[in-house]
Amino acid sequence: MIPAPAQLRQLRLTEFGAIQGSTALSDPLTLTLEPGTVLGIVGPNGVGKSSLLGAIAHSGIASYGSALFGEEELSATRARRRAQLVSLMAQDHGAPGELRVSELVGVGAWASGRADPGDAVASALARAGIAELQDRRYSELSGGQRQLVQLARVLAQNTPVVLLDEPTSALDLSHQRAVEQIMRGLGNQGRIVIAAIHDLSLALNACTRVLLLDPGGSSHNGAPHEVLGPDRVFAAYGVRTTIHTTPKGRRILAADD
Amino acid sequence: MSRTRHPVLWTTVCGVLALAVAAMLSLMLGIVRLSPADTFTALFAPHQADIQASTVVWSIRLPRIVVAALVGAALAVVGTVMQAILRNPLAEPGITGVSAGAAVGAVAGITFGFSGTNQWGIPLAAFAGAATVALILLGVLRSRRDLGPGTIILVGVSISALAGALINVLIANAKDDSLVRSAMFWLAGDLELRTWDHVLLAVGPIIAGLIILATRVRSLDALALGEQIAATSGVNVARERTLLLLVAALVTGAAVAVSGIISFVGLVVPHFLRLLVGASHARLLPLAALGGALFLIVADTIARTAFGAVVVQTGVVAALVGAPVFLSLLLRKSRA
Repeated sequence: MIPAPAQLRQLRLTEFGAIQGSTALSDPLTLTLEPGTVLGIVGPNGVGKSSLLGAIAHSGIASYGSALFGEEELSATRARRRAQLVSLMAQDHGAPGELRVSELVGVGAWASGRADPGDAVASALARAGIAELQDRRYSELSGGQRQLVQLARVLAQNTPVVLLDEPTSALDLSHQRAVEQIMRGLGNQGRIVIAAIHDLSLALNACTRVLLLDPGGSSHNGAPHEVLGPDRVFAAYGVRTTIHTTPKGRRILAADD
Repeated sequence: MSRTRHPVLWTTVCGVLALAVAAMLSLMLGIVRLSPADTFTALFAPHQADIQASTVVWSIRLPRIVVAALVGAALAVVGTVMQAILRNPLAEPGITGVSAGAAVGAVAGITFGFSGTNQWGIPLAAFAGAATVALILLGVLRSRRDLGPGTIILVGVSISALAGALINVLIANAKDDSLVRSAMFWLAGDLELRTWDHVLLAVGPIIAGLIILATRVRSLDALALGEQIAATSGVNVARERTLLLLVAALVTGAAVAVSGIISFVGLVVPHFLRLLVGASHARLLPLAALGGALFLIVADTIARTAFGAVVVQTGVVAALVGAPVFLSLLLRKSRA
């Protein structure tokens, strides 16, 4: 396990949102996340989940309002420093095909500023369950493997805030579970994890909180089973759903018909 | 890790040896053939060598080899950098319009008749053209900090188109046909009659630029993964991209100014090396410098020795040899 970084603080968003030119890409959001929170952002396509993650990460998407990590305003932080606070697994998994997996994950290790990037890469690969891929070239990997490599890169960056944009979209069942466990594990270490998720069952099981972005403009956040109750899900998606519980306690959200 | 370090060491050793051999052969071959012993004497003890040998080596062939090495290294490294920051396998040093800008300067210099008056005239005019494009590019990047790779490429395409139009106007209005011929000759890229003056002109900007680029290998790795990942990996994307594009433009400008437009080196050498040693820029950049220098020395030696009385330019050989080799490499790769 990669030891958690020393600085575990609150992330406070105040009237915060993504913006492009003079058009807001997401509605203003005010939210305080305690260390250890695993927040799932859900909502219909095009509602601004990725934009919001990108804005928090300051990954080239402009933002309005304030995003404070502890006392540090993320928009005013230098890129080098910010990379030690916030990491992002984006939806774009493109990389030069000739790049080796260990080199790609090494970008995360470099960003973390750690003295022993080799160790950081090795433990991140092990944590993502892909140690055997380390010498492979990126072009040889499947879509799911690429997603795991990008996850490993984020793990190597070892930040107190981890942003994941649809981290399981290309993964098979067993890897979905593995990533779910990684998300929970990061939260248990006191990190703040924010993940944009389409799989509402994953949101129910992996997250401690869920933020539902509603295209109507009203967003809700709170405990997963409350936010993902039938009425709110219907209001946002227009689909009637029920939360079922398996005999072993795992929750599944499924459409009624 | 040992598996990945191995080919790099191997490639470097082979590259350095090949470079030495190629330079040596290039010194020996030509209209005046020199034996290895004569070449060594002329090179390391010019006073003891006969006057013809030392003149051929020191005044004709060596400056030409040094220019080829500088230009080849510059174009290959800049090509690697361009492909990383624009995330486009077709990117090459001239993609931002810098080479076209240099061409406008050179063709203007030639058609206005500067070439007769001063041998610095054309290279300086070419460099001025490249620098103008670099300044335009800087202006564009600073006014719109959110430009993506695709838009930057389109900006380069527009600048190149504009430059092409200007070149056509200049050529159509040239005072006599020999000037048109000189201009066409320049545009195809050649290292004929390069002197130590050309080396002097190009060496400063090229070496300084390559050193700056060599310090940015980590940002290049991150930028090759995309803007979002670079921005969250500690790279100030807008600033870094502006710096890299500007340095790349000036290095390209200096190279093109003394060689004319030599295509293919900057496109092919980076791809070739990536297939060989992977895409990490800490490895790629030094090897690209080596590989580009080697490629152009060989191409230039072939250009001036292999075709007898038929005039074949360095840039032409670079494409003639480079294209089939690269094509076969690509086809082999895609089958694998």
